[in-house]
Amino acid sequence: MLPQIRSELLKLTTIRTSLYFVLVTVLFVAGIVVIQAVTAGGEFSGPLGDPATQQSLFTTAAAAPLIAIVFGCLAITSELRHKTIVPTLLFEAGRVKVVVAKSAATLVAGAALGAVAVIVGGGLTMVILLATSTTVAVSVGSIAATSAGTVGAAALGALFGLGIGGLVRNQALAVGTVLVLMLAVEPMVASLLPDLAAWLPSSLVTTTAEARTGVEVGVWLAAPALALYAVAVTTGAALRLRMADVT
Amino acid sequence: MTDLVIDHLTKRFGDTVAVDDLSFIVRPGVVTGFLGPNGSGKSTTMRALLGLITPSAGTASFEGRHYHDLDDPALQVGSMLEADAFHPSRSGRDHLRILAASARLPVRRVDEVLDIVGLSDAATRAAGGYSLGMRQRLGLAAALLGDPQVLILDEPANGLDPQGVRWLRGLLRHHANRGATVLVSSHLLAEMALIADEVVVIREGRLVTHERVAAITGAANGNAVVVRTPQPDRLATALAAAGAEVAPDGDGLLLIRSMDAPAIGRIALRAGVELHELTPRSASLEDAFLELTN
Repeated sequence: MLPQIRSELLKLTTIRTSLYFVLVTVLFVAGIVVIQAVTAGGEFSGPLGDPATQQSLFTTAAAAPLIAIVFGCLAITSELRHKTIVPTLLFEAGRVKVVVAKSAATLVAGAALGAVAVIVGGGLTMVILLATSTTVAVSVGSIAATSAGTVGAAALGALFGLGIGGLVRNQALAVGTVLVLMLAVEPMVASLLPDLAAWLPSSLVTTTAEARTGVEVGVWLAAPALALYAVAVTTGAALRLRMADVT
Repeated sequence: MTDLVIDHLTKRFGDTVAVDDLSFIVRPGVVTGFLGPNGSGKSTTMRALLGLITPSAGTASFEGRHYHDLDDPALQVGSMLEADAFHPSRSGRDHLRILAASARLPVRRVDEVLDIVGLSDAATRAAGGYSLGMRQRLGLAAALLGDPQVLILDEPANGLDPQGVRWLRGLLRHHANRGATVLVSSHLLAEMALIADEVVVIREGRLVTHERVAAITGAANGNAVVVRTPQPDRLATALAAAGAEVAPDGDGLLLIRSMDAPAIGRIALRAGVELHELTPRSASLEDAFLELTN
């Protein structure tokens, strides 16, 4: 299995798309941190010294898992789009094995994307606080928990996206499905069935990424539930690939 | 030394029958051409053999073993199905490194096959910018990566320049001579006539013939003798009387079937007809193919 995982990791690190995702993540997180810092103390947020404002700055990276979902989606659909699935299956005929290796590589890549977001978001926040001589009012434990949550949620988010991509197969349709699911279907379901809202994938991603506790569905429930979603759709993708004719 | 065994293979896609009860065996040590009109089921047969599609009935195997049952299949079977099966922003070398990693092959082997196919200079360029010929070479490099005993290549000569086609011919001959099993599909019939020792011809998913190239062209209607004479009418009468099929071909030329050149020469001598040309003409593989598939 290790050769296949290595092969899948090489796939992710030898295309420009991965670099673009890193750049988008860096620019997005950095941009949000800067905007929040600049507008701190204004109409919508407290001053920079306020623990709630600082917590918000440190959790900016929690948006990374949503980017990781799209990344995971592209990781498998680009194989189908560019027909590289053919040589992949000619070199490793075990299709479930291919999906498992791809899942492992996508988990690692998702986690790396989350780590980049944490480093950029946390690092920039620290720079801003030091530059403005503001005392850090958020505990190291809290920052560590949010960072770990973001990295974990990004890994699971990428796996979830991989599963969706493997099920839908068409690249544009798969990315569209992910966006419609997160931006339209989930809010609609949440408004119709409020009790379910916290268990929907986007909510679970946010809860895990921000390492929320003290809520009905906290991080210790949300993370395993998100993992279940990810494993379920990835299993579906593996079964679909196993049965499909590669023409 | 592996036989490729296609045994009563049938593949349906919905209502369409792509391959219909097809059976043939490809032996090692010879280059076998796989011919058929577009949509005749060649690619489907190759994909069934390589485990990419599931047959509706019958089997396609390597002496009874399916592709997915082979140990390290890429080390035993080298295949090229699509020239475009790579990510356009990835370099040719990285494309091969990925495949090599999956098969636990050293990076050294990647550089070796790049050298074999003549792509070393372009190895680090994005494969999306490759010409069709370079893409074919990249696909061939992937097929050769595991130094396999079986080669299955779908239209490998497409887009290759004359030097490339000659190189490919030598490569396939080299593999066949060392005992490899080589199955090559192509629609370039003149090229196939030079490359293949024997051919499998299919039409509408069914076997038309599996023969040596010489046997197929020898049996085709295109075999004839061209005769040029200043007295075509007199010679035509004499040849027809002797049982030959004679057809005027313009400008004093006669096209004679059912009689060989020495016999024609003797009849012309007896009839006192002067000959300016007496040329046996063999049917080409293209003639034979068109005759078999129309």
